[in-house]
Amino acid sequence: MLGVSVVVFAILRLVPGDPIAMMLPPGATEETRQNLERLYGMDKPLIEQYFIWLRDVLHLDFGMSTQFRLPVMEVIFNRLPVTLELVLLASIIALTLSFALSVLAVWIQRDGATLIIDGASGLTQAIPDFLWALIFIFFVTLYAPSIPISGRYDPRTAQDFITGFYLIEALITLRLGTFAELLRHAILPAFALALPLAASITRLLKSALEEAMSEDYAILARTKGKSRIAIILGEALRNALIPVIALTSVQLAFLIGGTVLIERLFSLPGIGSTAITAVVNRDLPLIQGVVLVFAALFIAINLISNGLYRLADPRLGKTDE
Amino acid sequence: MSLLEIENLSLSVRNVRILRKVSLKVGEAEIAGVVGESGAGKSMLGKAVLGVLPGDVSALSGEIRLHGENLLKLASRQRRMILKRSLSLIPQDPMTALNPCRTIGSQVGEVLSLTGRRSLRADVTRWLDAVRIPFAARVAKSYPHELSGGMRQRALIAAAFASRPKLVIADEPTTALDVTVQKDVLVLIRDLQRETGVGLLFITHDLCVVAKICGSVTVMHGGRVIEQAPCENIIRQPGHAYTAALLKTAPRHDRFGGGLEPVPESLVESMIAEAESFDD
Repeated sequence: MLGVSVVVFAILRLVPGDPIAMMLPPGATEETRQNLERLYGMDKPLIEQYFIWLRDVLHLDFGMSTQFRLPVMEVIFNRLPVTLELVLLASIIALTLSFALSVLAVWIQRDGATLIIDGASGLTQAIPDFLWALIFIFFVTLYAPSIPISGRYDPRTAQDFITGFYLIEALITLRLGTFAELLRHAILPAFALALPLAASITRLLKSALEEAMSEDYAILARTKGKSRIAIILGEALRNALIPVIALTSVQLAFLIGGTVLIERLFSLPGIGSTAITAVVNRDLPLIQGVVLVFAALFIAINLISNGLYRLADPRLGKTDE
Repeated sequence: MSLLEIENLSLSVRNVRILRKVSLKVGEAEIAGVVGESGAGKSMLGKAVLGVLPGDVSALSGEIRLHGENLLKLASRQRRMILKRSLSLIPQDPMTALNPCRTIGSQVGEVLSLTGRRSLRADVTRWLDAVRIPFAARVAKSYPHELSGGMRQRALIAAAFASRPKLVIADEPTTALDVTVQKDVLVLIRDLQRETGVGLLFITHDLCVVAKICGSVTVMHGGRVIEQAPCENIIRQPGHAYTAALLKTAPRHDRFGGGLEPVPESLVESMIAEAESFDD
């Protein structure tokens, strides 16, 4: 985290562009400029600026966004739930799709079916998420204009939510109509993000399952009279899970990165689109805050995947008693 | 009618002949040995009986009858019923034959529930006790990687007998084990066989092992049966030059420093030629 903070800070100071200049109205005097510089602490030497910022960050104060004139924390907390819900929905879609497809492929065990699933996943993987988004937008506007392609919800319907997690909140409070409406908005960006991820998990899981099915314990299970599907689900799946967890955690990091473009394309007010506007407006405190949040997310994903790893593989689990 | 009758079983994998008209019988409560070098087709014979041949079998003919019922003619559902109730396998390598992600108890207990018996923790512990695993209740909760090879093989033997099968196929059950454990495991299998009265098809490359426990022996080479006889006779007066040569390859404690004799190459060559002509 500390490393990330240094690098971000340094790079942002090195790139051309002056945040103060962005804030000034045309024709402002040199005096106004100096006042603003002093206000944002930009008149001090770089090293000192960094340590002031670091001290504030440790007190959970990320400074003021020069663009919104709001605390960075507030901007991030308003927008993070949008991204988290999108990522969550995309991962659910990706995992469901890939598990169903790879189990099906290994179960059917026909060359034709395997070829179709391999080919489809290869093709899906080759198309990046933002291109999927454009393809979806193109076809949906042409053939299914009732599916919304921008925003989080229909502004005409009244929304009152306590938290920023609209989808989850609607589901928990059993407002199913609202939930369906929100889902209609979220489904396209989530699928665009999910498809490449689903494809890569499918490929890995399928080969891991096939490998596990040729292991001795799977053959022994056959001699016990277990059916093929029971062996896939009961014996092979848990062993095949181990490499899949590793891949998914890496891919999930890319997925969060992918939200930057997807949120922009579907006009979602998430942390990714915030990052873009922050960069465009040279909103340095906000960029720094967003990058730290991304870094924290990556670390959280790694911790979770390490935990899952231990759950899935008993050989890693408990240290000897 | 014998328990298991294999008649004229021929088998090719990717057009390579693995078994050539093999016939073999295992009686009720009998231990029948199958010996041969590696590549003799003896493991494939066991796999054929269990119906777990590799996917690329190109030709399969002959009959495998269990209680007079031809297993090769059965639909897969009926076959699975037979596998659940009447057949089981003691595999060769205990290091890979247990699922690393499941506890010993669940893997032994599964056999009980698959055969429609109740699978209580006490039943599992009783079976682990029966194969002389110490601290059975604790071992039931451990994962395979926490046990030694010998313990794992005992657990696998427990699973093989727990389904109360009619026929157990032991595919080189002692080969992967440490020499010091081999004898214990061998004695264990023989004792369990006597107690339960199952038929046992014992596949091995080790004539010493056969001599210890088997009633009858089938000697195989190149997918063919070379000789079939009661165990005593084979050891005392082998009827085929190959059997005699095979016997000589075994290390003997009464002839110290004599060295080991390989099977003469000329003999193997003549046998291959014989096998080719046999096919036509």
